[in-house]
Formats: sequence, structure tokens, C-alpha cells
Amino acid sequence: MADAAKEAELQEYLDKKQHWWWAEKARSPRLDYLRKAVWSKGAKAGAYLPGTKVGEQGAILYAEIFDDEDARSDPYMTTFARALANVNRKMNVFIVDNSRIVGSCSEAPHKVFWVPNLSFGLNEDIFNDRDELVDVDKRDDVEKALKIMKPYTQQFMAEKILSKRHKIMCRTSQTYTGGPHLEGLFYCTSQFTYYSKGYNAIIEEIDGHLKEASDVLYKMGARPNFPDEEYYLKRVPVWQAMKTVLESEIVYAKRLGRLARIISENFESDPVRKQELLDVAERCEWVPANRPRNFPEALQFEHFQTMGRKREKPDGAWPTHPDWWFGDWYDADIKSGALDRDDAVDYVGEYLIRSYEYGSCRNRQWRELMTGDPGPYVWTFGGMRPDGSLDYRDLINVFFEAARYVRCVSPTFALRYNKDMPKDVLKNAFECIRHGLGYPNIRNDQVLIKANMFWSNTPEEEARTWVAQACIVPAPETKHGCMPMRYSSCTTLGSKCMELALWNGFNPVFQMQIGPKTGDPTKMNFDQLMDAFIEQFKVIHWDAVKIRNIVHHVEEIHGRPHLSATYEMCVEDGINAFTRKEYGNAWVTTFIWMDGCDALVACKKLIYDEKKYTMEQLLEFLKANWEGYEKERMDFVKAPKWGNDDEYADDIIVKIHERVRDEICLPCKCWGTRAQGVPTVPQNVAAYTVCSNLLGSLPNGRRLGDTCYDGGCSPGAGMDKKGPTAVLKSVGKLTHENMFRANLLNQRLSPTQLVGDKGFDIWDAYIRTWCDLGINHVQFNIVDNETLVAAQQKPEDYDELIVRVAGYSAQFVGLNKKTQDTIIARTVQEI
Amino acid sequence: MATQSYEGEKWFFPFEDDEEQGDLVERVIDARCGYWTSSPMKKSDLPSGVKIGAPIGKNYYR
Repeated sequence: MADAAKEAELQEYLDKKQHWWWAEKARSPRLDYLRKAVWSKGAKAGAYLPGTKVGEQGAILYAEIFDDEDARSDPYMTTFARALANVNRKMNVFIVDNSRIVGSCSEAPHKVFWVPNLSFGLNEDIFNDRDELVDVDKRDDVEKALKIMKPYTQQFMAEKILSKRHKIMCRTSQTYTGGPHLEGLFYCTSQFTYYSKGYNAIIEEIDGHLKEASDVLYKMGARPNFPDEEYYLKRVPVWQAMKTVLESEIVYAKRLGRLARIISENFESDPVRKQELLDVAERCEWVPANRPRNFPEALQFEHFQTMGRKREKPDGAWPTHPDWWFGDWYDADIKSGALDRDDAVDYVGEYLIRSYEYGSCRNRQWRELMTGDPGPYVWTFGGMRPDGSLDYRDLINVFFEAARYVRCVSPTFALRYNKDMPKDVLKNAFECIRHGLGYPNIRNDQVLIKANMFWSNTPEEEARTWVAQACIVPAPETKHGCMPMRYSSCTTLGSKCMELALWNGFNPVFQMQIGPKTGDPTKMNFDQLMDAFIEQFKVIHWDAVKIRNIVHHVEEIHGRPHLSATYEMCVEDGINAFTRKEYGNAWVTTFIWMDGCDALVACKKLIYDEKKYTMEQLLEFLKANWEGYEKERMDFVKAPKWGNDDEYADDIIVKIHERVRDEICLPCKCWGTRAQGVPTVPQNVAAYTVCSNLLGSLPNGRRLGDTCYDGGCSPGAGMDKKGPTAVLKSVGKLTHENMFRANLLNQRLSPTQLVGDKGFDIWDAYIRTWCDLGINHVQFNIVDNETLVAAQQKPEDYDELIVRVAGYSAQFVGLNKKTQDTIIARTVQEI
Repeated sequence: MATQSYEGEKWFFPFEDDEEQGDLVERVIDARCGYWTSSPMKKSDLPSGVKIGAPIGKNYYR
């Protein structure tokens, strides 16, 4: 009777589409506790959520080592490894009640780990934040630590070799935001198949190399041979650094094992929990020192690895392929009966919560750009294997079901779609979307494999191993394909090129000449105006690439002891992860892109073809920010727009993308061994609201301060008037395999239309069309405006209502009102 | 889970093979969750008011 009543209650929540209440009632008591216990490291309007702090121990424990005598003469990577070891051995560890997966990047559940050797500007930003992010009683110690660390930061070293122009442009975010030396957000792909053998096995490999080195360098009677001696002298410090950090991470895990045992034997009275803690202790004593033996150990192993990696460099993303990585252990445990499926869902739910708990130290600008989300952590599922077979296993379903229970905005999921994929997995994905998670986003597997082959010249079998490295860019996970950092640290503001083309390189928002003088637009024909648009974007894009290439030199000096130890080529060759030359997975993210494209279309229509206005008149309108010219502005708003399957607009925009690829992206050279060019990745995160005051008025009718278009190839909000198929047809005219590295399409669908099995059939047909059109990405919001407006009015009742922003999901009530309003304004498509 | 009677308490648990080294263990209840935390400590550096627990485990720092 009780079960039937509960089922009825749960069904009622589903019928009312109150999925967040359903989740709270349906999940296990453990998941319910852990979900409510977790401290989100997301931000709202640039501020971390109340109670979140930045931990002082990272800064202090790093500085203890960087301040010592050896740091002055040791290679940087050696000191870096010692600093990490100091953290792993001394930083507080903790175990949250009811948890079975343990370990954290930082010293307390409510604290973000501070990596102090990235950017001194970031350090100052955090230290002086008006929300008092540093505990008051630790401020003096932290201040001393930051002073010690300043000359060792990536920013300090990079700004010695960047030009004055580069430094100004990075700091003022006029045509690109930040820079790799300022943001310090890394996301590296993992060679899980290599390091999952366990750290002891890697240390054994390293010891073998150190023995060879010792024989050459120090063995009595060894023949002098400078080339060999030089070879080993360069490599010995790298191997030693790797070994130092791996050994310290084994100690970190043992510390947690010991704590679990202490709690069990001295404080815990519940016999079930006592045993759980002893199981945790045994797990921590086994992994990451050794290869995992079962599914819970596999999750714990990877959690330790990831947290260790993030103490070395913070991550703004989290490339992972959990079904392929952990699937064999899961299948074996289920088959043997060691684990039942419900317990697997519980473990996975906890793993998602533990991952959601992670937050990186980021400055206020980045917190605004990623408002509501500590991530974006995009985990990839399914796809085609190197041998051409499709691999979609039950573990994907476990992750999707767990995600519906815990409703974390990060990690968010990407599903590699193939038409012949199993229907049950696709239905499960749809169920997540229907529950309003905003994920998984759907990725066109075959298109992205080809895109990787085009831009990185990756062999096809390796390209098939891809994971989403960031929100949407795929990278392979192989020995030569793994990517040690986010290439794109400098994100361009694409539509500024239109603005600069109209003002001859002068930025009217900042009142500075920042672009080349491409000429007086009043004297141009349309082709010349497009040439000016392309020229301005070329300078923007090439500046970003140049800065990236230059700062890479500093990254090579810093090295990364932990990451290097997890890359097979690094351990084999004794090189660090940045001196290792991978195939190359370069790109530059391009925010606020499509606005400028629509603006160029409007110029052609109203100035050059219909001659309704002159260019002089347009410039007057723009100079006035359209004030007093509302009638004229509406003419430009109503000009042909992207997303309506309108050849007039679409042909011009496709041409823009062709020219950008051929004239701007392909001529660039990054450091990969096989990569060609540096492509764009148009997308937005929350930049379409944050950058609204950086982009001035444009001929698509926008005013300075208006929110920009979300997505990368999404039409402007309300500009798509011909339905979802028209949107797909426009977007499908772009060649997704080679016009950019990846692109982002936001779509909002009607919850009432997509109920029941019929709803799935409708969506399935939509996805097939999307796939046939060769589009690389799509993500969905399925939530009605009544719910969103109700959440604005009574946020306490909608804490777990999630929406897809762009490239990531966020709790709706955690967004600022401007971003909330843009989501409400998105066109609801009826398929 | 453990009862809240341990909230705010601090305990020192030495290593079996090195009783001068160990972990300072604390019980914390914050605004969202209850948790146990530990940090390495020498017995000689212990602040006052710390209770002493039974030795446990081998010193893995060596």
C-alpha cells in the first residue's frame, strides 16, 4: 500500500512536470542527503554563492615550497611537483556523512582550491574580493604567500614577453576576453587507458628510466658520452617530478583511508555505516596506487586522479567518457552479482555529486561568464569505436537515471549520436531532456569524427575515440591525440568585427583605435564592406592565436608533473605534457558571433539592394544608439535573418563562414604535429548577457546593452519565425565538418507537445532530420514560461529547476534576472 | 551516521609505529553537511583540549 501510494505521488509530480520534486522523493535517502549537503561552487552575478570561500591552504602550502632555497635553482617543474606533494601530504582531508566516494580538490566542502601560480591578477582579485572569500584569520598568511608566488605565476612570466598591445587588449576585453596567462583555465583530455593501470605501475616504469639514466650518468666505469648524458640530464628532473607527485597522491588517498578507519572504529555506532567506512578505507588503500578491481574502485580511482590533477591546474571543463572508461568493471560486477543495478545508480549519483562539488578559482569576469555553473563539465557518452562498431552500453542508462535523481547542473552530458544507436539509450537521453536537465546535448558522431580528421589530421580510428574537451570541441584520447590544455584561452568577441568595420577600426564603446583602418564604409560597395568585416575579424582572431602561441612557451617552462605522469608519451620520453607535441586540437572560441553576420545581411538588404537608407544615415543611427530612430531600427530588425531558411540571409552567412575558414583560420599555425589551421568555435556560455555592454549598436537592430544572440549558430531570440525545421535548414547549410571546430545550437521545445511515447517519436524524427542535415550539435530546453515566471516570483520553491543556458546548464534561480529573461524570451518551437 | 555529540571535538590519533606523529581529527557541522576532517600533526604541536585516541595504522609519510 505504501509503495503504491508513493508511486502515485511520484507519478503526480511527473504529470505536473515538477521533476525537481519527483527527484527529491524518488532518490535514495543517501543521495537525498548528499545532494542537499553539497556546496555548489557556481556563481550568481559574478559572486560565489553565500558561504563559499576560497581555501587558503593551496596558496600557503605552494608558497612554503616556492620560498625555499631549492626553488631558486631547481627546474620549475621540480619545484611545482614538490609544492603539489606538500599539498597532498598536509592539506586537510575530509569525509562527508553518508558518502562512499571520498576526496576533494580542496580542504573543506565549502572551499575552492587555490592554485596560486597561474595569475597574480586572479590572486589579487580573490584576495580583495568584496565578498571576503578568504577567512579573516588567514589573511596575513595568504598575503605573504601570494607575494612569494607572484614572480612564479604564469602571468608574471608571460607579460615579460607579450607586447603592450597584447597586454592591454587581454586586460580590457575589447575584442577578446582574458588570455591564457590571466584565466588559467585548463581542460586536458585524459589517457585513461594508460594511467588506469595504477600509479605504482607508472612509478615502476619511471624507476626503470631513472635506473638507465643513473647508469649513464653516475655508474663507475661508464664511458663518457655527452649526447646520452645531455639526453638524461634534461629528463631526470621531469621523471623525478612525476614520481614525486604520484607518490604524494598515494599518500593523500591513504590519509583518507586512515580517516575512514578512525571514524569507523572510534565514532560510528551504526553497524552498516561502520562497514561502509571500512570498505572506503580498503578502497583508498588500494587505489590509486593500483589498478581498480571493481566498479566502486574505478569511480574512486578516477575521482582521486581528477582531484589531484585539479590541484595542479584548475579546470573550466572536465573531459570524461565514463561509460567506456568504467564500463568493463560495471559489466563484470553486475554479472557476478557483486553489485546490483540500484546500488550502481546510487554510486553513480554520488559520483556526479562529488564532481559537482568541484569548483575552480576564477575571477569575477569568468564567474559572470559562467553564471550559475561551476563548470561546464561536459561528459561524453557512447559513439563509434576505433574498429567501427557502435558502443552504447547499459552504464550510459545508469548515468542518465542517476542524473535525473541528483539534478546537478554539472557534470552535464554529451551523447554521441549515431542513427543506429540503441533506442533505449536514446529514450533515456530524451527522458533527461524532458526532465528539464538541459542535457545531454546531442552530438553528430560522424560529423565530428570527420571534423577532427580535417582540422587535426587525426587518423580515423583515433578520431573515433573523441570526447568533448570543453563544452563542444571534440579531442581524441590517444597517446598522440590527448590535449594537455585548453587551446583557446582567449575568447574572441566575434561581432566586434562588424562594429570595427563600420568605424574604420575604432571601438566606439571604449573610444579607442584598436583595429586596422579598413576604410570609410560610406565609400564602399557591399563586397568591400564584407572585405572590411573579414579583415577586422582576421586581426581579432590572429591576435588571439598569437597570444596563445606565445604563452605556450611559458607553459612549457611550468610543465605539469601530475598530467605528465598520466600521459604515456611523457613517461616514455621523460618530457612534460607541454613539450610533448600532440597532433594538435587548436581552436579559438568565438562569443557573440551571429549578431554581426545578421548585421551584414541587413546592410546588404537595406543599403545596397533596396537603397532604403544610405550608409551615412546608418552610421547616424548607430552613433545615436538608435535613440530617436525606432522606426528605422525596426526596418533593420525586420531585414532577412538567419534561422528562417531564407536564402538571402543564409547565402551571405555561409559565405562569411567559408571566408573565415579559408582566409583566417587555415593560414594559422599552432604547435600540433599534424593540425592545420586554428578554427573558430562559435558559442557563448553566458557571454551573450555579460558582453552586452562590450558590443555596440549594430545594423541588425541591436543597441548597446541589448543581450546578444545565444549559441553559436542559433538565431537571435525571436528572430526565427518559420519554425524548428527552418532553423535546422539554415544551420544545415553550414559545413559542420570543416567551417569551424564545432558550433552550438540552442533550441527550446514545447513540454506539452513532447509528452509520452508520441513525444519521443516526434523528437526522434527531429533528431534524424538534424543528423541528416549534418549539424554537429543541438541542445534543448523543455520548460514552459509559466514555470520560469513562477520561479522568478518564488525562487525558494524552484531550487532544482534547471535550464540550458548555452554550452552548460544552470539552476534557473541561480541566474541573474537578465539571463533568466533571455531564456524566457527564447522561441518555443513546436516540432 | 555518527551522532552530533562529537560536534566541535578534536582528537589526536597517533601512528602505531610512531606515536609522536599522527592526525588531528575534528567533527564539523557546517550550514549544509556534517563531516570529519583530519590534518597531520605532531603530538608536541597539539593545542590544548585535544583528546588522545588509540594508535592506528603505520606511518605512511616515511
